[in-house]
Amino acid sequence: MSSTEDVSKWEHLGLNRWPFYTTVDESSAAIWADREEVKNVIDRLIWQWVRQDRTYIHLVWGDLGAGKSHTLHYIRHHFLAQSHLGVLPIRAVMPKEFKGFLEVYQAIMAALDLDQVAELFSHVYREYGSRKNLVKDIFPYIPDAINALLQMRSDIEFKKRLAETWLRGIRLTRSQMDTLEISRSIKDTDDCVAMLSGLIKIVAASKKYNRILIMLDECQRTWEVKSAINQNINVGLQTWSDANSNHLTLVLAYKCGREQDFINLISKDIKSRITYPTISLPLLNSKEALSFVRSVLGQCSIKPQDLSWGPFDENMVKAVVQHLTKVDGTTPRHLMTAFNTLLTEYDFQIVNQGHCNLTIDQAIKLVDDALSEPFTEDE
Amino acid sequence: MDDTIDDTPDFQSSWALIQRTIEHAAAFRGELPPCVLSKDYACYDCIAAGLQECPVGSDADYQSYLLFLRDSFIEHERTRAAQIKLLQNVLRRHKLPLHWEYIALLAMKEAPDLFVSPQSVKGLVFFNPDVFTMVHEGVFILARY
Repeated sequence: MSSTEDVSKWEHLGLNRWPFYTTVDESSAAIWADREEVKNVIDRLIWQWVRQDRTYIHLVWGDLGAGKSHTLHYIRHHFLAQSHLGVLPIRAVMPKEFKGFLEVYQAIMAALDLDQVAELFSHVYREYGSRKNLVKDIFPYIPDAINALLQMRSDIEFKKRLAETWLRGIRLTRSQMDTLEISRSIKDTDDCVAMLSGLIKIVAASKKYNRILIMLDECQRTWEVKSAINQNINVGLQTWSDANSNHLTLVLAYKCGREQDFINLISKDIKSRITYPTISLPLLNSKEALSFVRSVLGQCSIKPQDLSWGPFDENMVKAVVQHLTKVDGTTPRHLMTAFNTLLTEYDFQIVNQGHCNLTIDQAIKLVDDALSEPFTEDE
Repeated sequence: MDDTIDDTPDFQSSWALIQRTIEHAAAFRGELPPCVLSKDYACYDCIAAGLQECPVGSDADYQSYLLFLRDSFIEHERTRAAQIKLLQNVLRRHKLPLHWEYIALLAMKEAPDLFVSPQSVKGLVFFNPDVFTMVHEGVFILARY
């Protein structure tokens, strides 16, 4: 839908687009509502990643619905929109079930655009001039990767798909590997680390990018497996980071209810490698929640620099926010869900009756009903 | 399960069996024969009431021993309740499933004196299904939030 159509569609609400989203998507990735301190930390990190070559591991911590995924989308959008900064952003999600680092590798590779990687590789291949030098500098441990990446540029679609499957860490049959002239599968942590390290070297040598930014969401899933498996994941991540002293930023996002618990749950090996500051997203108090709602509405208002409450009455917004923050505070997701419900009701009443006569009590009842729906991790 | 422990033994039972039953009740249910508590030697409703010479009422040392068993039981129950409450708090804060090893890690950081080892946390989450629900192997959430 064009933006002109959007403006006329929501004009009766004083908005140029719908402000409240309950799931993260690309259309809302550029929006940052309030939380100036967090934004300052992110801006500072972005600046640092562009200025310096060294490898970083950063952590993002927040409660359920506190905005971790949005933060990752926001950072990704920033680098996609400003490609001249030379950072290739990848947002991957930790798998729900895993037995080792191979599944983490598969998740990262699933999030990568392999056509883009193959294109970068073809530039690097031309620069190096010989396969021997490429093996020596980029894939010394797993030379088969070069064949697979070359096959990604093949005109034969079947070979291209097989190469893609192999690069993503999925096992091929012997005859399929023979087709690609590949001798073995990617099967253990060492293979995965070698592949990911080669990937960083390709990106850095491509001249188009200087850094790869891997953001791994839902890392708290590593606490849903035996500590021995978690240890294997940590070994993979730290070996990968240690093997690449430059050009890599690894951002690990964890959901955890309390910052102290989060600190206790992070393994010592990862702790010793992280770069501070950590991006923390605690619950919002009533003042912060009000600023958040105002900021979201302001960014979607027809009038630029608008500091009003959109179609809402100020007292209603304050009453709803007070209700939502009365225990420990609230999350952006709860605010988005609550005000999405209210705005939907306003839209319905204004379009059908010409005005909205929702009372504060009715608004709170609507919000409670919307938030009482059982929600899961996947919400 | 020890099938020689019976809550309702007949009066012909040997003193040894009655003794074990009384000690079991004190140690695992916190219950004592009425004479230990009231000191009036009222034997009504006591499982040892059928005996001609009751060694409970006449033996102060034995009464002390039964009180010790009962108090140990109460202390154990109190500790267990505190342990379960703390584990509930850990999971309530986290909101998502956690493997018992990480529940133990957080619980022992928070109250190191309350748990002997991670294994004691494992026992509590595995054997209290009314409080903790296993969502998959070794991973728990609260049965009710």
